[in-house]
Amino acid sequence: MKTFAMYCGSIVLLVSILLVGCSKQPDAYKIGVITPLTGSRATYGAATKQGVDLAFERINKAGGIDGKKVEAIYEDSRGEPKDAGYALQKLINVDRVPVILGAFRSAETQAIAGTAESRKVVLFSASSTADEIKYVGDYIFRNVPTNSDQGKTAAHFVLEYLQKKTAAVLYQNDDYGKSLGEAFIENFSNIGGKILAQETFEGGQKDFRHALTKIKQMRPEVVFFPGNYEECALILKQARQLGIQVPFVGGDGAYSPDLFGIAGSAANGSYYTLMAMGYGVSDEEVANFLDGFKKAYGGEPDVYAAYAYDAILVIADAIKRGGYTSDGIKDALYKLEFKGVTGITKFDSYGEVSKPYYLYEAKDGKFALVTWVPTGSVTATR
Amino acid sequence: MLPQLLANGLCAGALYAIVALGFGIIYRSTGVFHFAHGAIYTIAAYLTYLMLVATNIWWPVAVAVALLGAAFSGVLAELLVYRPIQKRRASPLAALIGSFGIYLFAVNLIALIAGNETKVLRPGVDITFEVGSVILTRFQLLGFATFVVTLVAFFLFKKSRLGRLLTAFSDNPALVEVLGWNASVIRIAIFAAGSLLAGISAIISVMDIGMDPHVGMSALLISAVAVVVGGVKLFEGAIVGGVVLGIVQSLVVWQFSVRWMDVFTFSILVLFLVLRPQGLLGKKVRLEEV
Repeated sequence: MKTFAMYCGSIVLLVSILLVGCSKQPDAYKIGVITPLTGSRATYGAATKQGVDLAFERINKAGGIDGKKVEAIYEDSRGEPKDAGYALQKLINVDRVPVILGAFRSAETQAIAGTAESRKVVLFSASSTADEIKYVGDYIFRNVPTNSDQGKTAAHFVLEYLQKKTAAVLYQNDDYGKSLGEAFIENFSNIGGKILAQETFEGGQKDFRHALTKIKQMRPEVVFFPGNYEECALILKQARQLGIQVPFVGGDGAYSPDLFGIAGSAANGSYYTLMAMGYGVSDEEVANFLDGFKKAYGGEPDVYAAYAYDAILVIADAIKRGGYTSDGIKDALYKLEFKGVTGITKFDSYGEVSKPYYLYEAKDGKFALVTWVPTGSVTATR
Repeated sequence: MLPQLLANGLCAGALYAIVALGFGIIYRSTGVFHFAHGAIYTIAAYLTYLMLVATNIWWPVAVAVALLGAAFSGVLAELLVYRPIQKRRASPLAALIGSFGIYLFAVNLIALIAGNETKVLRPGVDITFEVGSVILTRFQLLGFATFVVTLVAFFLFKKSRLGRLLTAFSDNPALVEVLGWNASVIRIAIFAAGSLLAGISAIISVMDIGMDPHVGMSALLISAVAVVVGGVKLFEGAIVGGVVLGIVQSLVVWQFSVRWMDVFTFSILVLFLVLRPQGLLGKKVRLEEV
């Protein structure tokens, strides 16, 4: 009798869950957001959240989309591909969102993009730059340019702005570091630079002295070291301790205020390529954003907040044009052209954009924009 | 370049040797493959950080607290996990799995409390010393000095009455008990001492290069390889193995590249297991003596 009661109970429960799950028209449009809210990359998640919240506030203040409010469902990826996978499953199966902003790191996005594609959910990254993401499928978009562009910009910067002809490359042995390192090597060699040494490091590594000793021996004029900020900061510290005083050039992965917490003064004389803001293209939008950000949070946004903010506005625009379904959003994204804080967002047939990279110099605990007008083929910087 | 690489390798090897000695003593005398040694390494590192950065206490006090914390954690592992398992006469595999459990629990707890990110004690460039073409940080030098002190202390201990007791206990715990010693007290002392050594290595490493919650795992793996390379049957094996690994790694970088370092480290493990399981120092023994 007892088991029968339990059967009945569970069936009732199941049916009620299904009914709730099937409740028809949502009273708000929900957009999933996968970003590292905790863990070693929590500062990136915090920046993403600032940008996303600001964008939602702006959309809702203007009356939402077709009179419907929009809201975000945040899922924490902790910066780990595995956790990004759990977050994706939850957003697809429980919340049933048609569109997700995320993930943050290239490795995370690459881990979940295949699933998003096969479940026909639009996945929109505002920060993953690894080249391979381009080919995953039709439902995968991003508003950041690729690492091959980033490596190219860095190569031109070293040769044209720093005027250094020899470089050593020390890259993180993962999707991100490897593709960026290879892009740099290819472009730097093509425009007349010389690569003297190539070494790698692993995520989580703490002692880089062996590789740095080898690099020191080769006497390069510059070291290009694409990787995450934790490893890059330790590399800077140990390099300066070993007496390597040449400039270091890194990628957007090392751009984090926490870089200075580890590297301290050792970060002086290092440069980082970073996705561009829309200066010169959409100055009005940039000014609006900076103003709104200052009112909401007080202070300057970092570039990840700007890209997340822009991404949400683009997604909202696509929902408005195509409707709140994944196919509608996907088709609208391919057609739209959006002028925002990060310049013009217009997708090619791979869901990729063409935007420049800027250069920032680490100086006394801050990142300062480098004024550099490149000659030749790189489209960059104000 | 070679002198610098060798100096780095020697300093790294010195720290490997200290943590491996702790692992080796525990493994040799209790038979426990002490996976949690890695967790204790991490605990010592985070206690040092907590004391120095959060409470800003005088550094000898911080070091003392971290070392005591490490020893205490080791004893706790013995009392809460290994002893009950041993009492039930479970297989060594049960202790290994239990040990792995402690490792996962402790490391995830630390990550939960302190965060997953890399931490350093002092940001920026640290004081370095230059001898000829070799540049070493003060903590690399400190690590090597500590290694020498540990080495001397260990050999003095080995010659002492307690040292002989340890050797006797490792060879035949039942017999030592028959002679009137309390085996559980000896085991507690062994875990405390082994964990203390892990703590020493961890503290110097944290001061030199920094940490995250997962540093203990690589320390543990290096320890295990060092013990196999040096010889499981002798306490000195871990010391020799640690130093040899440090130097071999620097030679690999010199001749090949950093990316081959781990490949070589674990190839050495496999080669020794297959070709010379008794290790560098070990002698071949008959089955009856094992």
